[in-house]
Amino acid sequence: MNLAKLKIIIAREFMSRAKTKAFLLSTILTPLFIVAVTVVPILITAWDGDDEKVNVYAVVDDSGIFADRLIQNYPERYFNANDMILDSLKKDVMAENIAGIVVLNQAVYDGDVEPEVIYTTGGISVLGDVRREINKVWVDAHLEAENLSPHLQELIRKRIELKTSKLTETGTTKEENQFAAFGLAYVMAFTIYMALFGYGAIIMRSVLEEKTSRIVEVIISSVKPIELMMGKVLGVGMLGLVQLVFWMVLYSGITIIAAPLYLLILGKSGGAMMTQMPAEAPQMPFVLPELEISYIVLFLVYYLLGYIMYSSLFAAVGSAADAESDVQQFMFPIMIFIIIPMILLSKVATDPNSTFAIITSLVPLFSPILMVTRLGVTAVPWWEVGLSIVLMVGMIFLLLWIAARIYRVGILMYGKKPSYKELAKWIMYK
Amino acid sequence: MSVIEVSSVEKRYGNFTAVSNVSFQANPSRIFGILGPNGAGKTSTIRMINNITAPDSGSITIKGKHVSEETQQLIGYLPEERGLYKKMKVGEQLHYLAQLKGLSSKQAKENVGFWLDRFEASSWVGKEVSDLSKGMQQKIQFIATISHDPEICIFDEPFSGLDPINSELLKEVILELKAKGKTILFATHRMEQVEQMCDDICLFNNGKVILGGELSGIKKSFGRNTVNLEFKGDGSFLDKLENVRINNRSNNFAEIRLLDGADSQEILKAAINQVEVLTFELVQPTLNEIFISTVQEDNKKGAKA
Repeated sequence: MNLAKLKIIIAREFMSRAKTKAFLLSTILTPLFIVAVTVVPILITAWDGDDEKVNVYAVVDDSGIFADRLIQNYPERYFNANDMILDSLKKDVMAENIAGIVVLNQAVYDGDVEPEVIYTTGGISVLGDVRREINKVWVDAHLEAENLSPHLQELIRKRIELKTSKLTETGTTKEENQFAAFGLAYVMAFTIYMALFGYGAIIMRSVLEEKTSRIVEVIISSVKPIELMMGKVLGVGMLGLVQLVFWMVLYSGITIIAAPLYLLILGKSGGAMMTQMPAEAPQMPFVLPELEISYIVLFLVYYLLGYIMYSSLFAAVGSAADAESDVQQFMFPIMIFIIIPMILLSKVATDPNSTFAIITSLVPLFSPILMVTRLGVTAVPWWEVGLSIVLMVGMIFLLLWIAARIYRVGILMYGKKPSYKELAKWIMYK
Repeated sequence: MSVIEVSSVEKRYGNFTAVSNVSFQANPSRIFGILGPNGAGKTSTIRMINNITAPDSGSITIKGKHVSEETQQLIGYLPEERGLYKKMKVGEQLHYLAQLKGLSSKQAKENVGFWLDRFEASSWVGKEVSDLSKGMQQKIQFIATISHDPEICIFDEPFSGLDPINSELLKEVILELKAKGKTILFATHRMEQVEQMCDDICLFNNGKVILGGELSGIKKSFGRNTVNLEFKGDGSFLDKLENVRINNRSNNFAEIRLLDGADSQEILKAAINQVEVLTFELVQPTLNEIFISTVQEDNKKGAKA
């Protein structure tokens, strides 16, 4: 391999794409898109019912047990409507003068029937609040009737929260939100999945374009086919690396400013919500887990190795085809190997230390997705990481060898679409 | 020692033999024509000289060295199927391709600049290739082929797609390269160009070289076995002639190739009987005629065998 020429090829493959608007836009817009589909709905839910909409409920309580307590605890939500006619209240609900009617009585207190809420529109979140508030006064009333000491009452009202710590390789424990870690692992695995497909398709199209535009013959009269192929694979791989590193940095920045920004945006209403909600509600409706440097590094290593494995195959597919419509048949087996780990993902993520998870994450073609998942949710022993990397490197040599041999024949073959048997023959050509 | 020496080269693709026992030499300051019908093995041979593919047996040497990455640098190759990066700017593209031939970035820039001037194409530097006309793209492709100042130039159908003015310019440049001592390989179907430009030829058919050597010698060896007949009147007598092949026939002209046993005087008699003869001349066959007759004879032999 002529390194000077390889460098020239890598530089062209990298720069010719990095300079395009498409690259700039996808680098900037992808995170915006992810924010749009994940964070925005959460923010909207959090805001729901805060402004504009009437959020007042009429309490009809002929037992006299609930109404006063509800109004005393949540004066801005409930008012006493015992002396009003139900039909006229219903009209008010229809006219959206009030949000709804809460119907309570002795049977509710006794636990024989469930409290009834009559409403027209309103989000699940508000109804959830109403349910929680009725529940609270119901418990209060019973506890008082039992004449329990305030201490006992407090014990009964107490809700247990989990404080989770993850044991890491170095032996230190670090407080971490398990759900957030889970979410992060999913996002990272999904990112690898998208990268394998996305950059793989770029490679394939680019090889196909060089073949159909016939420039490939000019280039391989100057360099070896494998140099062109590797230059392309590495150039586009670096492009992906730049994109991923940019996103990581962006994300890390966001995790730092997210909490203050959230309070700034939601301001008082957010604060009010927090005091209203009992202990089960988190401080923010979403928690951004921090990315550890070691995880980022391993993530990038797995991306790069996985990318080289798959992109060399995509290059071979591009070289074997004559037109984009030809590639489907050859894409299929490659796609299967990318999709299988996505199917196994949830099983591996929920039980990351099972034999099943360990074995599947060591399969070289699955490692990029499944190992990144496991690394996100559990402390993977270093030897498993090392072994998977060694296996992937071995796989890269094998796949590169096969791909290069198909490629060097394929790029000069025009006309009939080759069969798998013919591809096997190409590999064996001298 | 010749610059390019091809000796007993074979190339097979599966069961198909693309090139069989081919040998020839090409020398500096000469233009070597590679002729033959489609699929005769020309491109396969050229690819092997370019080290794009390797022969199954036999050897190819460039200046005494076996073809390799190193010898690739000495060659400028213009493939029959042209191709450039459509979305890349002309200047960047030429610079890139010259660097792949081993030129330093600075040298590449200088050479590309020189040739863009020579072809009056300097103003296209910032344009994408897809914005250029076909003829312009041809010129750029030609510059890409020679910008690293190769000792050997291999042109596969260099004139296709060029208008007469640009064809003339290209011909001029090729003859200049010859005068500078380059070894030039020239593959084409257009015999009049070969006749105008080539010093040596080899004719391919079915993977073999069926005719080769100095062009003038080859023509001489065919003798004066062709009649150029100019006449006035009804040319239907031409259809009755036996043992001849008629090329270039028109209302008042025919180029008549005499085959085994045909007598030029019989033709003259037949002509006088029916038309007014304006010119009757015995000449050497055109290269076109040599091409057709040699290939047909070879095909007949192949069919018998």
